[in-house]
Amino acid sequence: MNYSFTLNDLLFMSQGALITFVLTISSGIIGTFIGFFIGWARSSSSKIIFYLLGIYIDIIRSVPLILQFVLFNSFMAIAGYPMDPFLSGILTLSVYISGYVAEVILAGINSVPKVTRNSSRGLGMTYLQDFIFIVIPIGFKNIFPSWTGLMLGLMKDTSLIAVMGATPPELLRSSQIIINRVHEPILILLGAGVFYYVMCYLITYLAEKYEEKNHIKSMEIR
Amino acid sequence: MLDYTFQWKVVWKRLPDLFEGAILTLELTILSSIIGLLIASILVIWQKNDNIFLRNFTKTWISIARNTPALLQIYIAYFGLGSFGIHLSSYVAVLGAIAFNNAGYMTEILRGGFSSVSKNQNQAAKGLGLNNFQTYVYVIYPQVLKTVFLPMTNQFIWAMMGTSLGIIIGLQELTGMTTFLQSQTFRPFEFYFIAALIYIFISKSILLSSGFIAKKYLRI
Repeated sequence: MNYSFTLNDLLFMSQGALITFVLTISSGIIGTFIGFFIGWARSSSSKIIFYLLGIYIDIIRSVPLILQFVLFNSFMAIAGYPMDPFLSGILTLSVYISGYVAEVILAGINSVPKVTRNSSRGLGMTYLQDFIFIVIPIGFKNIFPSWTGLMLGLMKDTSLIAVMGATPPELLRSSQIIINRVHEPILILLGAGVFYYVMCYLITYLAEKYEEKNHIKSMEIR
Repeated sequence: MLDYTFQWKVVWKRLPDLFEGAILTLELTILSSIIGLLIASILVIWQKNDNIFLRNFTKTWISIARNTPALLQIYIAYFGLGSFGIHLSSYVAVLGAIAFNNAGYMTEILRGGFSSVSKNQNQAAKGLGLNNFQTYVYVIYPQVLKTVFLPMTNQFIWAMMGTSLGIIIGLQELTGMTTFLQSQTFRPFEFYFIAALIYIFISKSILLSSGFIAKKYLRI
């Protein structure tokens, strides 16, 4: 029997890449949503909310993602709601990235000059109108590059979901499965690296095009 | 809802083992950061070198380190290099991969620091009669250090989190040690919870002390 790399394996790996993509997008959307509200809440004048949510962000940012996966999984198990690893992976990733997104959102809200906000209120806008029509469009331009950077980081972090043995295997896990059969580690790992590289490059390229089109000044990512 | 009794005593008994893991984590963090910083300070000079080979080498290093997951880099160091007959221990593989990754990110941070120092400073220093080495040590470097210090602290903490990937290739740093202990005692939640607390403690103390240094000595 010949154990060589076949077309099927390549297909399997592209399927893994697709799963990586799905993971990134779903947890990116949920995480941005949560992070948006946390960042917004932190921008309010209440110091108590600021520090309480600051603790949340601090904890998320200083515990390794692997540990968060395992902690969440085992907590759900002892709470009596054992969860599918794939689903709990998406949830953990969302919570994890929300901590980072919240900081970026807060920076974006603070980047809108106070004078601009005051004058919009002076024109008779309500707080919500000011937030939706003034702060979001201006802040969005300021934070877009660092937000893309976060999403790229998220995509690389999805590889850790393999620790819990989530079942539709993502890119790195699927390449490991192939390695177990073919025994050509360097070749397949480099292939997986190329996959990641291309996906990252694609996102960066699209983001750059978007920035150019909308005259967003490219800031240092991360 | 919670039909579960927590058993913290088990963790208490094995706390010395956990600390042993934490020390390995710290050791890996410090070593990989120092090695990464050394490589980065070479790469940042090569980045502007006239030699096209060195320039492209730096470019490739940075883009590979930044565009692939750290886990993949650890896999390549541990499993991949075996194809060339290089068999690294899990300690060396994690150290090498995290240092490789760190070097990529730190080069970018340093580049930002260097570009923040204006060209006039260099010329002014030359005008005052300082030679190249003196200009670098007394004029440029202190200013670079100021802009670079806090991002470097972030990178340092990232490196600490990165070492937790060592568990996957069987290294017994804090995460790996915790997994080993919980498999012996069947108390996963308690052990992982304490491990998370230790991680928070380490990163908090790094942040606080770097904030102290930044305020007291660098006046940022």
